[in-house]
Amino acid sequence: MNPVLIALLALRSAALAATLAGQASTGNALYALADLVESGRATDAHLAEVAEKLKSRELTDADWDDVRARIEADAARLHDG
Amino acid sequence: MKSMSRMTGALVAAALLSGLFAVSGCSSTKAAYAAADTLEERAYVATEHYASVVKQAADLKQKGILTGSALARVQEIELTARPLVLKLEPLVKSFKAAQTAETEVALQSALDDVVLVIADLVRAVKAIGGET
Repeated sequence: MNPVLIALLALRSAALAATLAGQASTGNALYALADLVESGRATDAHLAEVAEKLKSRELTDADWDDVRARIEADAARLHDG
Repeated sequence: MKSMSRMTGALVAAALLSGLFAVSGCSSTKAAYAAADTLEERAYVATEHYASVVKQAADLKQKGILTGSALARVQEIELTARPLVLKLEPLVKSFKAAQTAETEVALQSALDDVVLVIADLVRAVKAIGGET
């Protein structure tokens, strides 16, 4: 099994155990860390797709337009009040 | 009750350690850069890497995990980094059109700067793990 998935399972299990044991702040911190690990996994997965794209075909203007649009959209979400 | 608390503590410690190791994983990131054969492809991978980290930060902000001074730090880095990253595409086009040493050096130099700011951004996002 993928070590990252094991880590996620461990984190969420520990978070649940802590919450059930009345340690809410510890549980919340562990849930937050699990979300952080999961988001890092999503980043890694996306770059795996980029690697496959580079192996399979030439880059086009549309590829650049697409990544630029995503940067603008997510930067707006990051900065919006 | 004491044994339950001890068990919870041990489980928490094990989960924290494995989580921290997992956060630093980046095998596909390395694979993407390794798959880039040309300067254009390296610039594209760097741009996609940046886009992924910004998305990650925005998602964490939306979930209420990236907040306070950590959020401010990430926002500050992103504001500085974005113009550098978005400069890569026009430099790629100039290089492809002219194929001169000057345009190649300009693109490589810009790419070197972008790699550094991506590292800053990744560090700032990963630092959240230490604050949780």
